[in-house]
Amino acid sequence: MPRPRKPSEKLRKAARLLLFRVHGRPGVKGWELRRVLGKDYLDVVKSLNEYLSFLGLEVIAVDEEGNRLSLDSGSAGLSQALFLVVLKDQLTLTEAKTSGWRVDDLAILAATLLYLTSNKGKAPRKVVLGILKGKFPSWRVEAVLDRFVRLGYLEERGESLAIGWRAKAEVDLEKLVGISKKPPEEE
Amino acid sequence: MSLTRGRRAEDRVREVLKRVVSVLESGGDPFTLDVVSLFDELREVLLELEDWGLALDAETVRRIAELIKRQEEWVEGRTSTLSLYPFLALVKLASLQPRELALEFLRAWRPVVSLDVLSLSDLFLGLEYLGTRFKPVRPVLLEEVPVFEDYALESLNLPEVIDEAREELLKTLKDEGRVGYLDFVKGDIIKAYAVSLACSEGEASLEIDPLSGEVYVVPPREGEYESIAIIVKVDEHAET
Repeated sequence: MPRPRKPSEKLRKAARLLLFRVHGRPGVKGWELRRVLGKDYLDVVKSLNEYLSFLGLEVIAVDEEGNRLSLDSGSAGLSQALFLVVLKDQLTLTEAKTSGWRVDDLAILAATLLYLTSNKGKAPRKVVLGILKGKFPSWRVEAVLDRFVRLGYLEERGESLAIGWRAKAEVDLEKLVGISKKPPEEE
Repeated sequence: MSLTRGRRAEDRVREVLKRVVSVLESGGDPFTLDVVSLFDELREVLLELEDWGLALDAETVRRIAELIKRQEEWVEGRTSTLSLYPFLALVKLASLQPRELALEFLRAWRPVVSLDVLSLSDLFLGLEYLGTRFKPVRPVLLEEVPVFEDYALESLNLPEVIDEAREELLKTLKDEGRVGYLDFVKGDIIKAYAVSLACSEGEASLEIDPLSGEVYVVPPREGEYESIAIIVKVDEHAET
């Protein structure tokens, strides 16, 4: 693998913009990148991707709903898109735990997403709670769900829960639903 | 027609071709490219193309046709699998244990990476918030203290039960270093009271993870004390 050259000022600026955030919602809009980096901002993002891939990271673009967009869609099509840096490779359970995630919380999120997926992406909160309480300690479920709503993984629509923009952006729901033949290796 | 215009038109066709080829080679969702707008782009520069440009244009059209075929196959494949998805999701939910669910989730999860920073205006906003939080507190009258009917306190030997819970906490801290507050308390008011007592008497302390908001019970630490309220159990009657 060739050793990357020192990145240009534009690349470093793009990395700063994408990695540091002030607001609750991570990421930078396409038009913001264009304003700071110039009209060739997509080329800068693609070049940045080459550097980030050495670290196991990548820049992705998503729409308002969190659906992934191709970086080849052209700069006009991506001006309203949200650009995010995500992990390129799978986290191990140990890594997730070291980063502060609890196994139970991840399992609760997985179960919620699976149920919502089976129900066209939306279900009454009470029903979701009922299903989760059959599998997890009830004293934990409610607090964890609220936390995932705050983080954007789930969305509250009146009395219902729906798959949030962040789950769509970060989780390959088809992969989550698909029954794997080979169980994942654990560290 | 100037040479530059011809070259520019050729570059645009090459750019379209590159995008189409990249989607075809990636094997991903073929609908990430809008075929109509691709043809619009080609149509715009068609009259400016010279011989080599026209050959490039023909190759691009051939590749777009390949993309359309891929889209057709993709729709066919998706229609059959999508009808099974709800069923597969429910089977997985019912059959997997929490740990297996977490592992499955990790396989499909590519979390966002970002670092939190605080702007000066956010800092001032925080200070303003804290300023409004610390107002004089009205003394609580004994009649207002809620009674937890779940616990028949008279029938318990309260000091003994609390001591047991406290000893369990201190042993856990000695063995594991720290323990999640909710993991230890598990909605038990007696245990919550024991933690509170241990903290007040300097035998333990609380630590809040600034990113996750998770509360941990840790061995006593140096520093200034502050009081925090934690929800122990959410039920018909809220208890803290």
